[in-house]
Amino acid sequence: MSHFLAPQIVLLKNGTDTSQGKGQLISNMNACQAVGEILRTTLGPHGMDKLIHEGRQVTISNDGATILKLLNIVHPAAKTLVDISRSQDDEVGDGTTSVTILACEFMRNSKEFVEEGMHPRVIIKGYRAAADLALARIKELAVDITGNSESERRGMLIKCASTALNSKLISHHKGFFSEMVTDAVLSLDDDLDLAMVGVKKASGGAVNDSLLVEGVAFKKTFSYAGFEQQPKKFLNPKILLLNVELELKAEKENAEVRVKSTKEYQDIVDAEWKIIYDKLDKIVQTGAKIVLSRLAIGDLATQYFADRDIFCAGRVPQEDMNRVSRAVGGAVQSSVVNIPADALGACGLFEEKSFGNERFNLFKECSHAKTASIIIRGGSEQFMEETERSLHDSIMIVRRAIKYPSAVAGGGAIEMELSRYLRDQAKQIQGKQQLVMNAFAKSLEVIPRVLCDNAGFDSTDVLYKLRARHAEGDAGRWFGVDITTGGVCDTWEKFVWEPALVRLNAIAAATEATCLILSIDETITNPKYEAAAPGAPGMPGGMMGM
Amino acid sequence: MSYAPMGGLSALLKDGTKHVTAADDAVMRNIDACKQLGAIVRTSIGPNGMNKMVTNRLGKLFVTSDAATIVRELEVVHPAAKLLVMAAETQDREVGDGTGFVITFGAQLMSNAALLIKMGLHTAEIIQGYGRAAAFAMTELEAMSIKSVTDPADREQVAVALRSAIASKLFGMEDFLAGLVAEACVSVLPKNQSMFSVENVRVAKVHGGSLNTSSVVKGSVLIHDVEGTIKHLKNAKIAMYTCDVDAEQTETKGTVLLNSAEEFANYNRSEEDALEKRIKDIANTGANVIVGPKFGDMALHFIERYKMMAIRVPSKFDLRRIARTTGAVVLAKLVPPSPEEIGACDSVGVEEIGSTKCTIFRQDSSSSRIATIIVRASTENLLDDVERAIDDAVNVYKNLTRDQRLVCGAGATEMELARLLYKYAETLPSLDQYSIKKYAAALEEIPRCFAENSGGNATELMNTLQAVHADGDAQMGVDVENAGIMNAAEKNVYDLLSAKLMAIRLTTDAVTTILRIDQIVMSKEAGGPKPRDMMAGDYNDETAA
Repeated sequence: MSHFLAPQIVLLKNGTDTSQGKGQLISNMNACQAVGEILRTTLGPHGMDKLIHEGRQVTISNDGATILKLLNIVHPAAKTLVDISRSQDDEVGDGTTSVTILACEFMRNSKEFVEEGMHPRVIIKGYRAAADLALARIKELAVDITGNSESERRGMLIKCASTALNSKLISHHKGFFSEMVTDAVLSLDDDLDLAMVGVKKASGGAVNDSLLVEGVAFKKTFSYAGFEQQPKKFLNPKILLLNVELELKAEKENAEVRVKSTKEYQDIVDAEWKIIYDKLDKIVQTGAKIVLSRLAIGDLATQYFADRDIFCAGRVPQEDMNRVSRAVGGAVQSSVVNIPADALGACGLFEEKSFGNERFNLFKECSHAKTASIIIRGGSEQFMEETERSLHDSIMIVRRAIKYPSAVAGGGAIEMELSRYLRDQAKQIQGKQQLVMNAFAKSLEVIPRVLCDNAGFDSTDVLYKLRARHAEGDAGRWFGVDITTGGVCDTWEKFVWEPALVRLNAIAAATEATCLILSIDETITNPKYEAAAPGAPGMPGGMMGM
Repeated sequence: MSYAPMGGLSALLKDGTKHVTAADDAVMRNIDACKQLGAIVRTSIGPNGMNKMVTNRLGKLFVTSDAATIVRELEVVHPAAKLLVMAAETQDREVGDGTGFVITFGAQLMSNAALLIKMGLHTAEIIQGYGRAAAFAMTELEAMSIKSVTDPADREQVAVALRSAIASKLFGMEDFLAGLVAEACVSVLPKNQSMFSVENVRVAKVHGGSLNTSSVVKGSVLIHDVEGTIKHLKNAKIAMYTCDVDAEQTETKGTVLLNSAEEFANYNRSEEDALEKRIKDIANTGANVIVGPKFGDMALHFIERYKMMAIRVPSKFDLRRIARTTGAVVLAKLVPPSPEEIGACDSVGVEEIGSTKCTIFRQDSSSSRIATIIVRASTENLLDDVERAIDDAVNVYKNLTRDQRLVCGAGATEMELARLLYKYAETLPSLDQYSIKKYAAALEEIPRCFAENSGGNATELMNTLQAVHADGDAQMGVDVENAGIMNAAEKNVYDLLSAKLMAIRLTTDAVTTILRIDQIVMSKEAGGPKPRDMMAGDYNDETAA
């Protein structure tokens, strides 16, 4: 009965871990900082890539969101950073590294205030006010890039696309890819559905062998005997899209056939053949020259189609099917009975073509062409994957730039300008908030600083030059880091353009994350559920709900 | 207590039963437990309260300053502290807001009771004193209402009343969010105002963007795409089903017996025809949207053919909400709906928010009974926290439709009540005087917490507040922004009178119940052997055979 002697009060469940106070806050910040350090070196055109080895899979990337996702962060506070980079990825597609680095810098600069005993709420309030000012300033500075003519607009979008590609593995070919990406996005419908841009990889060849197909391209699917006899090129074919299995198979799992004689047995066998022949016949009657199905197209059907000069492909992936449907204007049919004529699609040219040792089915000159495919060529799997991610970022940027056509200068110019503006504003504030706003302004400088650091320039030197330029007023507002010479230059003139939305979202998200971390003063971890056996103390049914 | 007689009570009870007795021991232990609980929550109350990061037993992470959520996820095991938690939960259910007040005030009442016990008062006397104090406070409170919302359909007035409920969780966002919640609530306010249900204001969380891009939609929002290729419809006529939209399947396992080749050949065909007929029948009623939990490939094919939109809604709750939005009757069988069973919606369409595709049912006319607040934020935790703040605010609105009276917030009401209680205590000749004074002191703890959490000098601030209240300035409360004092009414900081009343009643009830306890008997847990590592605790030294 020893527990009678120990007057310990058990308030929380056994095994619950609680930690509280300033120390907790600082430890959360440190955890975030550690994550930030990993990403820091990947920012900018001269940022380095990370190789992440997970099980047997190797990923090489400098995309912030990808790296954070692969790191499998478990620290609850640091997870916030993963969230904001994902949010940036969802919302704009690019700037995932910037948002993380900004958030870490906001935290770093608020740490000393916390250590000095300033109440975190004061810092939060100051940061929020500073962020509001910064966002308003970006909107004020942003330049409209709608363009007067179609070609002018295209030119503007290409510039945005190429800025996004600057920091990527394929930056050497940014001219090549930015045009490709812009054209792909411009060919889309008004809703700019991302799923309508297919990015396919075919290993082998050089990066600049990559090509844009205005229409659909997908890898040849698994095919049965007879496929080689089918024609591989059509002009103006009709296309039928199916969701039907064209194979001899059990018609229904729960059907049972009872026969009384061999004759009847033979009839059943014949009927089975008749069913499939009927189906095939109906397909041929529609006049379609190309038959695609999401399900398998078997030996028999393949042969049958080959005899009638029809091309077929089975087991086409869902997303490719959707794209084909959008491009050629056909609707996917789940039954071959009564196929209406308008359910068939059409395109100008269909062909099967080889890229390296991969064969692709290409649908070109589509009547409804609101889709595009990019085929990436390249030496190694990892390289192509990273190219795909880079193109994704760039595609997203172009989409955003079309929706919200306003841009700011990149290369740290907008951050320097915001920093200067906030410092000026801070002078008009009395009290602690002035310090906080200055800290926010200082944090923004981290972007040009890291750009320099990563390029091997003297960041302090460059930053002084930048500050001086920005202090001059309007003429200097677009001065940023000149990544080629290590000096400063007007990045707007150099066409380093970014959609304003990237920066708006990055600053808003980084501030939200910082404020969230700053507002936590206690961590309580309950023991995991699996160990809590039935009838554990203090766990009546009412507490189970959530 | 070190020598509990081995023969005594423990001999009567099952082996392993814990037994604590005597006022000073059991009561003190209970008080200590409540104090500990209060210490966890007290830093979270008020606009400047800090958040807690709680990982619950399922590994889900909560970042919040909402006391109800914190105590729920904490899984308090101490029986006395649990009474306080229950009071907070009741408050959460009844009012939706003010849970932090319940726990902090309750804990303070308990620790003040400890002082009274040390002074020599018996618990019964404390209970009586607290009871009288609460009764007095509640009558005074009724008279302290300084403002009321004259029209719960007036968005401006409502927003003002909701501000403080949101400010206590997401300070700095209260004006924007209160506006959103007010807009949503007012738009679904039924003619009979007391029929307002919190179910009618929904929150859809879409990751990405920032908080000030959140918006209100009249109607429902589903966070996924539609099934078919038709993505937008105006003037939708909606047929809804709880059964799978597919060829019918028998529940009983059975096989179809086919006797001839003819039957065999026609079998599949007939099934297809039957399905086509069903879908066609539905299309013929004029419906152009089908909503169901699941769609078969074949059914989808025919739906497309008849140019209808297919929306998959797996959740029964969502189905019900859409039914309420559109006025459709959810059918349990795939039959054509009668005209009155078809729902109507001004527009149904897929919209991309961030890069999340959402299906939005929009009712432009005022007929919708559901409004949805689309919340955007960059982190999941923030999204959850905003959702909780909105839930609280909607609950406040619900109470507002029943009782429109408001009192000053920012601790002004508590300060004034405390002042009146002190005065009242002086007039009483009995021992109650002491406990009523302590009750008043506990009330003062609320403004003190506000001040502490704002980083001000709490003691100094309290003195100033007491002084101005003594001068008759009943509306002065804590200015959390400048850590000074301010006139709460001028700054539009109001709390609901009904919420305060409920909180005072619940807290006093919980506290007096706990004080009445003089013995704790905890049975040993039932059940077989437990995993060893979990049981490495303090109350199970012997093997749990």
